[in-house]
Amino acid sequence: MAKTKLIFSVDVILILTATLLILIGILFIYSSGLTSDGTQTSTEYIRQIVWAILGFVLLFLVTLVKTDWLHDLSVYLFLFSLILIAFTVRFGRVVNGARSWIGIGELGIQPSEFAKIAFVLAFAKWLETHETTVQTVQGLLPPFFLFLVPPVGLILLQPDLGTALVFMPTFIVMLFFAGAQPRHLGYITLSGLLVGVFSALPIWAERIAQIDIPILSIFTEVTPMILFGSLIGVLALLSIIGLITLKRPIFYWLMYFFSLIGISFGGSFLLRRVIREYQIMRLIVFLDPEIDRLGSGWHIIQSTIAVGSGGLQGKGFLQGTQSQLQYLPEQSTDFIFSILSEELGFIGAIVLFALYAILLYRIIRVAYQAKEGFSTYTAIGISSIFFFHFVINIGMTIGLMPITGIPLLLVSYGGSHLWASLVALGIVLNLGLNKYRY
Amino acid sequence: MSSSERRQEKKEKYRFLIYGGIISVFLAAYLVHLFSMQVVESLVYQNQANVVSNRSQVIPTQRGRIYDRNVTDPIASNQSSFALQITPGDLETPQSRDTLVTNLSRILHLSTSDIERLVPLRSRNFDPVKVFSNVPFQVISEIAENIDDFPALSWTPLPQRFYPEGENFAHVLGYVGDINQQELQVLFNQGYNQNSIIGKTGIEQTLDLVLKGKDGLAFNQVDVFGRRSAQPRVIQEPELGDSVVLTLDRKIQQLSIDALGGRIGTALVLNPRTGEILSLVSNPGYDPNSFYGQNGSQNFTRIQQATDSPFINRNIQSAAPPASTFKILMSIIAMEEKAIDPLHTVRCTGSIAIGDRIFRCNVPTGHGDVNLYQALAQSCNVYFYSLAYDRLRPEDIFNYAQRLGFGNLTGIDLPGEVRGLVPSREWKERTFNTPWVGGDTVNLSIGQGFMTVTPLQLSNLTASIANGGPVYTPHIVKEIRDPITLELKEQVEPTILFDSDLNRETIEIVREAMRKVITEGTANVVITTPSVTVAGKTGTAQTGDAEKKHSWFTAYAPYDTNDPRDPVVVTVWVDAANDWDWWAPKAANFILHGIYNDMTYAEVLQDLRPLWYITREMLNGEN
Repeated sequence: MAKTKLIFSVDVILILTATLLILIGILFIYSSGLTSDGTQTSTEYIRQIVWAILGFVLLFLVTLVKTDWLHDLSVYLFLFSLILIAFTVRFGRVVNGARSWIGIGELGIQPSEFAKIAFVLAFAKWLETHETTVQTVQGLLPPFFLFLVPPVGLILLQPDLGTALVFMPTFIVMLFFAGAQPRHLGYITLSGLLVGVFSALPIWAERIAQIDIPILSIFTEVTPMILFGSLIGVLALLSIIGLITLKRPIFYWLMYFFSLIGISFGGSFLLRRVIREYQIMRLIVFLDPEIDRLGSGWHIIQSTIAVGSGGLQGKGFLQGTQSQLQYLPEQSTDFIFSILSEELGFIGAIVLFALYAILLYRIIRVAYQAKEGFSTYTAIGISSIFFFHFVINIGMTIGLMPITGIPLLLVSYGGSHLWASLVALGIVLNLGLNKYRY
Repeated sequence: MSSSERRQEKKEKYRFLIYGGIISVFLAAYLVHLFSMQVVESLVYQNQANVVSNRSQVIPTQRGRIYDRNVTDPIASNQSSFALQITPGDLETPQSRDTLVTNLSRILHLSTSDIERLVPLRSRNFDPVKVFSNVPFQVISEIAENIDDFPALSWTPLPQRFYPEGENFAHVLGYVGDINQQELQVLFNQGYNQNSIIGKTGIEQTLDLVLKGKDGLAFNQVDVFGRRSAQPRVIQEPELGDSVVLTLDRKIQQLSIDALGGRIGTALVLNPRTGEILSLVSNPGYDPNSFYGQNGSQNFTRIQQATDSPFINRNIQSAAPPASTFKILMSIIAMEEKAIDPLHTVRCTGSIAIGDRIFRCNVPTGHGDVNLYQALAQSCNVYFYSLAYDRLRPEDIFNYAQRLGFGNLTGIDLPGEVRGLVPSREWKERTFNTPWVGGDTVNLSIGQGFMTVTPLQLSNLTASIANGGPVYTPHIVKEIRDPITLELKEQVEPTILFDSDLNRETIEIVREAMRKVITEGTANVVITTPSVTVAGKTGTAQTGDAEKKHSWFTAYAPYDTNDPRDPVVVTVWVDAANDWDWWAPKAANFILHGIYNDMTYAEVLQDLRPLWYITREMLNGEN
């Protein structure tokens, strides 16, 4: 097949959608740098344009490389990104509280952004050959310790909770497509959520709801804690004995339930040892931002005011008061959606959602049409990265999700994740071109 | 395609559907939430956005000026003072703060530790923090010249009350201060707020509503750091406070102050025809300007706690036994009740026995036979003892005292006036649990004992004689004028406080007797002014300590009814706390001479050359 014909069959819609999102991003990065008297105080929008142009060069380079290279190099890329993160943890520069940035002078990157892509590639390659083993419980342990624990552990050391969190749903979604049992994946997902809920529950009751729930003493006082832990342990043990001796399915689900509670209960203590109370408070303050109006609640209050006051049609481009008067913090990065909705309103938000929906559809389409596992898993992994960034970032700006500080990919200001996103889309385009390969 | 492959494909399709479903559910849920925020509840958020970004700013107004009757230079005005403020966000490095503290301490002459406490720490906050108020212009200009030494420092003008004459009018004008909680509760409906400056006493208090004006209001759109983002939109222009013109005459006020010469006591001059007060001096005084400076509160506390109570306006806020000046009233009663013929004589042997007590006269050897004129002129106690004891009932004295305004408010337009005391039989029984006895009547007849009057009440008694009956409400405020054009807005008309309704004959007799006090009586050596005919009465109140006596003098001039000049009533009271030098009539002499010759105190001394003055001048001259 002639090379030219190949290039013409590239997914133009995907490229157009991504370009539109980046353009929207640049417009609102420009808006965010503007003060009320109309002066531009920031050169961020110019940098973003430069990064976008260089990013598209990267995208086309990645599109045109042999798919086999991606496949074969994936493990090395993953290892290399892990080494870079480890290096960053030790020597990196602190940006927004996390030691996540590495570079010389003004030039530098956040390796964790690229690690997501390398993780997807390497994990996809591994899944390709382990489609049968992941269907068992034992088969889930190797990928967990090989692929999830190293990057998440290292990124938590930075510590960058938001970025670390994105790995988990991606890991689950890729396993789901590789044929893992939904009840196993459900177990992992639920235990992750429950650890979070159990960790936050006593602080929520004390600081936010300000009610005294006696049962919560199992999280805070030693005796009830041991009693409850023992009870759950005994119940789980009884279920196992029941399962082995009576072989009734009911005991399987009892064991599933009790061990889930027990593991999450234990996990929440580990988590509360690692994370300070104020950090948990920052995560759950979105449930009632008024509790800490001027502190951790500030971002949420200002952002929801910006979004809500935008109305149906918005205040007009460059006319947002919340953003131009700089009430919104981190407007060009984490809270770019707040400016967009303030200035373009509900209609602007619908446009952004539509573009993202098209983008996700085009990526998943590649996964659907692919004839072999590596392509499917890679495209699915990349789609889930885009999707979870979208859900967490937008959810944060409208008060539905905790503030974790992760960007809206392609739209937020920032070179590393823009390049990582464009490289990821390049990989998707590359896979799309090779869909008839096998 | 094998069946297992088909099954595989079906299963994969099913996974895509689930994944796509999850994505769609999230997108839809977010859009529903956005719809409720941006379309359904949008107004709520818009209001919040306006509340955060619009901040109102008060434009301070200027308090009205106060003038004396000549409307020349104001006696209460405003001077620009400045408040120093620091913008924490402008402190660029930790060193900037140290520089600022060091230089501020140098220029304000305060210790670094004091300044350290007030200067805010570095922060992202761009809202200026007020650290010092009442900073004078000289300091500001010095800072402005060396602005680089004062990072993050700025200043705003702040109108500050200023009394050019300092102590001279303090008891009349009063002073202003920050409103307190009690005042705010009472005055909340009259346009006062937490930040109001309010008159605390004097005219500043009674006319506060006229003087205060109305602050203006401007709206600023401010950014999150409190930086103003646009030209303020003025919503309400400030309204200046009206100017007030007083009845006081600054020359007579200065003359009276000099005449009193720092002695604790009072000097009061009023026009009996209108009730206008021309001067009102109370010693000791205080300088209200000292309350506004950097040590304002310390100065205030020091004056508040001073043992000689400088805050008290003794003309209206302290009452003392009227002593022999009360004999004017006794003479009135005797004539009105026809208790004695004015020419009927009483023999004074130097003392009189009432019951088992001996009451003495001021001349131990006695005045011999005295009639009413001689008794008042010589201030013979025995005459009035016998008049009160033998010819009058105590009720007559109580009733006439009240009829002539004693024991009652004069209604002067200054706050805090006291009533003094007119005793009665019931009062004595209630207070001391003993009945009113003859000795009480005798004591009362010469103004000693229970009765107390304020200098202003005594002035009203004299004014009643001068006017031939009616007494006008004494007042300080003459006019209210426009703050810029000085156009007349309101004028205080004289009102009659009471008419004592005395017989013509009584008035004539008492006037003549009071004239004799000056011409051949107790005051004939001290009332030396040749410029006007004076009628009055001296008084010396015992305090128990032989060396310590209150000195009273009340008089009116001109006595001569053909004299076309405006009459005045002068009342001087010198407290027993001073060394005894029988000063009240002397001070009145200088004041009267000064008024009718339009002279200052120094000129009066030159002109009258009292004996002690010549002596001192000669001594000084020879040295």
